[in-house]
Amino acid sequence: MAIAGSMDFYIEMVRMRERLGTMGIRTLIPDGHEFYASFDSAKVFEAYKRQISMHYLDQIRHWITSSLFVLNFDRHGIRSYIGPSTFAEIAVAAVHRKRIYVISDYPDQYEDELRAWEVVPLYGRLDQLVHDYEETIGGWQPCQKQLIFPGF
Amino acid sequence: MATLPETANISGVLRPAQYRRRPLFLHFFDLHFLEERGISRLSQHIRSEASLALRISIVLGSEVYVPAASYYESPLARSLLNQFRGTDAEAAILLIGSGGTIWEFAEEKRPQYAAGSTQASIYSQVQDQPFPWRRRLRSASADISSSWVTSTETQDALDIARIKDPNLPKDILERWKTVPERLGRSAFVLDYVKPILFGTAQNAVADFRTSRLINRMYFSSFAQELGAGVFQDLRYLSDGTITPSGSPEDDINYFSLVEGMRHENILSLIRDVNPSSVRSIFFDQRFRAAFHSTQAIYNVISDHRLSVDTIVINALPKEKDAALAVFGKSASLTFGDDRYIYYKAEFKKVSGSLATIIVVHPSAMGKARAAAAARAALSHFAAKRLFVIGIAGACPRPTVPSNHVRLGDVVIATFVVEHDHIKLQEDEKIYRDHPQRTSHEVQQMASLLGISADVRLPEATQTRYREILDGALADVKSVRPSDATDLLCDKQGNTIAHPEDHARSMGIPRLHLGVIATGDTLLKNSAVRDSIRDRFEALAIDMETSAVRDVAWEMNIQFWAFRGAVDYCDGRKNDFWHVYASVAAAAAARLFLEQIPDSWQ
Repeated sequence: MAIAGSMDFYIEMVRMRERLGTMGIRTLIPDGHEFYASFDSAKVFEAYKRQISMHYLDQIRHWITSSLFVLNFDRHGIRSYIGPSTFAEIAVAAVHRKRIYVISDYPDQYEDELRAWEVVPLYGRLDQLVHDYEETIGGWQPCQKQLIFPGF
Repeated sequence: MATLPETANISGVLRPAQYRRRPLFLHFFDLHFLEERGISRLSQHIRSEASLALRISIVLGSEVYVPAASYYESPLARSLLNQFRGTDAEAAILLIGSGGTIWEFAEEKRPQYAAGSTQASIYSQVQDQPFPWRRRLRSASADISSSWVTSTETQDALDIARIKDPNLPKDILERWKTVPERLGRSAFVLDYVKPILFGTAQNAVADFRTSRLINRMYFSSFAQELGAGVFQDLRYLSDGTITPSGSPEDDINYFSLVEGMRHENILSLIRDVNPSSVRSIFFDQRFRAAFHSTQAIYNVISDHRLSVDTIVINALPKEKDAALAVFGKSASLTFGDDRYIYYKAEFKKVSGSLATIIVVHPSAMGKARAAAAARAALSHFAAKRLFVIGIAGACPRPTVPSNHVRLGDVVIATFVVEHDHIKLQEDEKIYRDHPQRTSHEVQQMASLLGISADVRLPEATQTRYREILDGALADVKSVRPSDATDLLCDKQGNTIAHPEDHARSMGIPRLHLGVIATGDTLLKNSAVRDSIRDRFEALAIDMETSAVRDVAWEMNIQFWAFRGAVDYCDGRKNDFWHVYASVAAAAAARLFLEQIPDSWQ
């Protein structure tokens, strides 16, 4: 399962990965290894952003990823915020028929699209996501320690 | 006037800011906040961001405020700040805390921690004063408690109570009110608040919203006391909310500034230069250019104004009081050097959603002052509608009962005209303004409520209007003046009888739809009144509406006007009906606003 959301919620993604890990759910979060202000050149920074963004989109659409879980908490007064990058990730997941969840509700801005793509709002609870994951994955795990993406 | 805690959350980073040093409050060094943002898991990223933000604050800060508890309890804060001891930045950094001196502060802190704890040890070792000291006058705990109690009816509380999770208690709003009392001496933090609000239910969104609200209230307490700007849009040190600011025009848009510095090739300099040289970067042209570029970017891509439903412009304090009696005041807001006071009110619409209005009145009557107040308000608030609510002189027309405006009646503008916008020639006066339409919504809503010149108000509309009106009149301790005081006279002082009007209900204002004429003249001349009435088909004459109409036109937002009739613009003018008519106009505005569909953005 891939986790997505605004980078303002990076620590929430880290914590969610840990929490789901204790429930036996294996997850990915976007790469946050490099500190953005360590890039002195705009060109190099853009190239880095492009690379991690494309890499994550590749991981989302990969056959081994069963679903996308979006942490759409409130941001800057916007309830259940989904930014442009996250919306693009949702669209890619939808095209590749992945199950998609949002931790909160549908944001007003994208409600029609998200409904049409059968995105599941969790309203803050993880029960359904855990249940669906167990049903989909069952006892099968591709790797005991971490996911391996062939070709990456 | 003090700014209330919840008012301090409006960033001013979109404004064209002056390049100057400004007071800054570094909220992000707070130990609990750092833990919440994951200092143990993302220590390197958080350290890098805190270091860069601190360096920017050294460059741009006239005073850089850091809570003393953060300095002593957070190793990160201490190690980063200590780099600047002995440099020319040292005098700009101020530690703040309770107590007249740093030693008094340490004395107060020591007993709060168990003997042998790290904190007890830290506070028993305080000997020197690393940075200048400023005493805190407010208590964050007291501020949070009082903000919490008044937040029950806010959108924040409703957003938590309305999460669609059947496991969450149904009575969250009831529990909400009990939180400060049930917490007792326990800290106002999520871990303690959560069981009171949610029992044993686990909900990630409820936790998120509650912790953000507490953070906001906590930082507001500092922001309002210090009157300082803050960093907005940090990455790892942001919790996704707009950080409450004590001086929004001094806020730093951190992420845009980093982008600007990268573009100006100065990012590595500020990040890596020796601490003793950081403050002098203020004079570097590249940093200055980076700073200005952030303002330009923000102006284009973002609107940090606070979203509200409606801004109400009143001309007089008594009109403002009437509006607040009708809508219910919840806070007063001020913004930096803007000398207006904005009153915030919230009320429930029939749809169940909460509407927020902002009330402001200019320093005196007249078009120029009303326009200035409307423009000032719109620089802070992104509103869907601009309303004028207040009093006016009636234009009686005894021969046409349906257009005969009596004292206490309310005229709801469908057209507005500026009657004194004229070209005066030797032998001719040419009127240069023409009646212009108000919002399309006015007539749609009037139709929905059944307001018409020819029939009485429908029972349901009348009942609701009376409820709003009576409630507000009780609040301002006033009643409807006797109808015997509603005297219409001709020039000679002879009484003119009011016409029979089958569409008028006794004891309640008649609501008229029609033209309001505006001019800068306080009119006490029935001949001039009649000439304005006949030329423009005016029902009422006031001194502000056309000015606010023009502001709404410029800003492309919906415009409405409600005027309660207080006199007949003649020599018998007095203040007898002022309070009642002010309340009647505001009550009519609420009657409409309550019904406006949520989808009308």
